[in-house]
Amino acid sequence: MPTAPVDNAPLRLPKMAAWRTATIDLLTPRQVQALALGLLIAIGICDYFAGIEVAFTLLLYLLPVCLVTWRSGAPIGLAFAALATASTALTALGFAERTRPWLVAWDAAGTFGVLVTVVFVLEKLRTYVEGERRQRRLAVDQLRHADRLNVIGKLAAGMAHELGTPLNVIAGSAELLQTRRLSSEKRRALVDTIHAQTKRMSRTIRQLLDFGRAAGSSKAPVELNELASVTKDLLSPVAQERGCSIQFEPAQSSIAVLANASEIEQVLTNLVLNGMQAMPNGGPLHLRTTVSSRTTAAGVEAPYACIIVEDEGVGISEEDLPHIFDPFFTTKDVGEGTGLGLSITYGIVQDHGGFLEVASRPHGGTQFSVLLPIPDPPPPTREA
Amino acid sequence: MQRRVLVADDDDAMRSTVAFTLDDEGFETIEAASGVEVLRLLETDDCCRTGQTPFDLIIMDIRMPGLSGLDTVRKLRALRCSTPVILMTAFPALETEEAAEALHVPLLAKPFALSELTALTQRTLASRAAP
Repeated sequence: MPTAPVDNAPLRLPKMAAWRTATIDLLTPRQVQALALGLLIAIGICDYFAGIEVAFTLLLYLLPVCLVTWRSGAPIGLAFAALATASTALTALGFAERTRPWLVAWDAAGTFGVLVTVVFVLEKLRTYVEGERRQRRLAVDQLRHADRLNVIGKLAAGMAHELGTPLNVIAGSAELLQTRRLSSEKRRALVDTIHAQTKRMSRTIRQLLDFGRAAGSSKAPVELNELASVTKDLLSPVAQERGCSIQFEPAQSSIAVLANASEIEQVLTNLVLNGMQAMPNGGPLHLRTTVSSRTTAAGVEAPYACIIVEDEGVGISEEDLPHIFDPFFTTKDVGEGTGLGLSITYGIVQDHGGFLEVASRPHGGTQFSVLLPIPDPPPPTREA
Repeated sequence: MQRRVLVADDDDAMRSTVAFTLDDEGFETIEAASGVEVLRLLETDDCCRTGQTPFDLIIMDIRMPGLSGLDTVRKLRALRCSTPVILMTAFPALETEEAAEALHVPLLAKPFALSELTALTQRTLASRAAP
C-alpha cells in the first residue's frame, strides 16, 4: 500500500547540488586506482634504475605534489615541485652530487613548493567546502520558501473559497433584502441564511486558528487505552447512525504518554469521523492501541505509542495521498468537511513530537497510525 | 419566452441565492448540486446529440466535488453541447482564467454583486442570440 510522506522524511536537494557535493571528494575511486597503479610502476622503474632510496624520494615529492597540483591547479607549487623533481632526477642519474649548494637550494625550493601547494590546496578546499555548505543552505532555504509559498497559495485558495462563498451569499441576501419587494416569509428566510453563513464563516476562522495555533499547549501524563476507550464511547452513537461499528482493541498493557488529552481526543475524533465518512455504506471501523518501534530523527530506534484507526472504506487515490494533510484539501461531499480536519490533526501530532503514517488503497480502506513518543521513564498516570 | 437557466453549485446557500436572483429577474431556474448532475440532466434529454438543449444558459461553480466546473464544461463540449456557460469562482487564479478563456467561458469572481450576475447573464444570452 502506498504510504504518505511523514514529517521526518529527508528533504531532497536538487540534482545540481547533489553533484557538486560529490566533487568535494578529491578523487573518484577509478582515479585512485589508476594513480596507485601508476605509482607502483614508477617506483618499480626507479628501483630498477636508481635504487629504492631514490624511488622513495621521488614518491615523497611526486605523490603529494602531483596529486594536489593536478586537483588544485596551484601553479607556484607545480613550479617548485618541478625543480625538486629535476634535482632528484639529476642526482639519481649521476649528473650531480647532492652536496652542491645549488642542488641543495633546489631541494629546499622543492620542499617549499610542496608546502605552498599543500597550504594553497587546503585553503582552496576550505573555501570550496564553505561554498558548498552555503549553496546547500541556500538550496534548502529556497526549497522551504517554495514550500511555504505553496502552502500559502493553497491556504489562500481554500480561504477564498471557504470564506468567499458565504460572504457572497451574505452580500447577495442583504442586497435582495435591500432592493427587492419580498414576502415576509422570504425576508425571514434570507435573514436566517445570513445568520447561518456568518456562523459558517466564524467556524472556518476558528478552525484556521486551531490549525495555526502556537505549539506548547499544556501536557500531562495520559493513558492512551483509556483515552481511546472514552473516544470510542463518545462516537459510538454517531457510528451507529451511519451504520458503522467501532471495534476497539486496546493494548494488553497500559501506554502512558505526555500529551494534551483533549487535543489527542480531537485527533482520534477527526480520524474516526474521517473513517466513517469513507464508508458511505457503513461497516466496521477498527481502533487499536499498541507500542511500535520507529527510527527517530536522530537515527535511533525508539518505542512509540501507536493509535491505529483503520476503515474499510473507499480508500484514497495515489494522486490524493500526498495532499491529504494540506489545509482545505478535501474529496468529501459538501457538508462533510472543510478540508481542515486532517491538517489540524497533523499539527497536533507534530506539536506532541510525534508523526502520522497513512496507508491506503483505492476501495481497499485506509489506515491512519498516530505515533507519539514514549518518555523514558514513562510518566505516572492515575489508576484507570 | 421565459429563458431557462441551469444553476449548479455544491453550496446550497450560494445556489439558492443565484437561483432566487435570476428567478426574480424573470428567468426560469433549475438547480443542480454537482457537475455530474449537470451532465446527467443534459444526457438524459439527449440534447447534446440533437442540438436541442433544454437550457439557454448554465451558471456553474468551478470548485465542486467529483467533477469541477471546468471539467464539466470540457465534457459538455466533448458531447458537442454548445449551451453557453458562466463559471463562478472564489479563487480566480491565472491558470483558472486561462482554462476558462480557452473554453470561451466567462468567469464571475466571488464575491460578486447581484447586479454583476444579472448583467453578465443578460450579456451572455445576448451574445448567444446574436447571429
